[in-house]
Amino acid sequence: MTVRRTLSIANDSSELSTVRTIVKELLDDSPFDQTWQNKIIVAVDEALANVVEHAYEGDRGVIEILLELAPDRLQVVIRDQGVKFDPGSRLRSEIDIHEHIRKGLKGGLGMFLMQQIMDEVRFTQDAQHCVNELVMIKRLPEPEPQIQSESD
Amino acid sequence: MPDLKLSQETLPQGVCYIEAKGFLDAHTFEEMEQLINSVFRQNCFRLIVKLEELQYISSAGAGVFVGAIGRAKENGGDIVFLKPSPPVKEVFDLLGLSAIFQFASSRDEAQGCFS
Repeated sequence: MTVRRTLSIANDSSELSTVRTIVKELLDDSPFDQTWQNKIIVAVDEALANVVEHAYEGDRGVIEILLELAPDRLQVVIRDQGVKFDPGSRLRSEIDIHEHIRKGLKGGLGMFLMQQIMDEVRFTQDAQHCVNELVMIKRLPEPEPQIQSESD
Repeated sequence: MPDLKLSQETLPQGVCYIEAKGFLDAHTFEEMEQLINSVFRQNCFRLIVKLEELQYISSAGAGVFVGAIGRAKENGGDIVFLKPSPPVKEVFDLLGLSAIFQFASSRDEAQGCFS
């Protein structure tokens, strides 16, 4: 059975906690353990925080969030109609945290966390409708194999 | 609305003890940043930050400490985290901060880092 939740929020950082709560509620009924639930909430929050911060360049805007918990995966889609976004080199699988500290860099860690936590992170743009779309997928853990006992 | 509660006190040896409760995310990180900057302006660069009751941290929150640790150490100080909650420790681990910052499980142990 697939469970879906859809919500729209304003590009206001005060909305982030509301979304985290909704993601947690969805994950509470999933096979993800508490550690992975916490991490997935972080990944969604990081993605959303970036859109809130950058998509509309200070103007008001709406962000659409689609959550889908299927038997084999969690899919998170975040859509905005802000400025065209190309992650480019910001989507990185490694960071040099020592360099961040050396340079006092506070930002740029969110994309890294998203990549670390989720199995897939994809950015696309629908130029015709001016929509940026971020899709993140986390596959559900495989069920433990059943061990058949031998009869004597 | 989930928020961030901060408290601060000065301990012996010029150590500043900060306790953070609640949620340190993209909405609340500036409060922590402002507090640390004000502590630095008072020439206190030895920080103990208790995170036992911090329920959540994002990269924005962790970034405050990433941005501050260099300045603390340049001035002969450091930042010691006291009892981070499991979700907070997980984010620190993911970012590689657990290998860089000092952690303590008691206030005495944290103060001992500055002896």
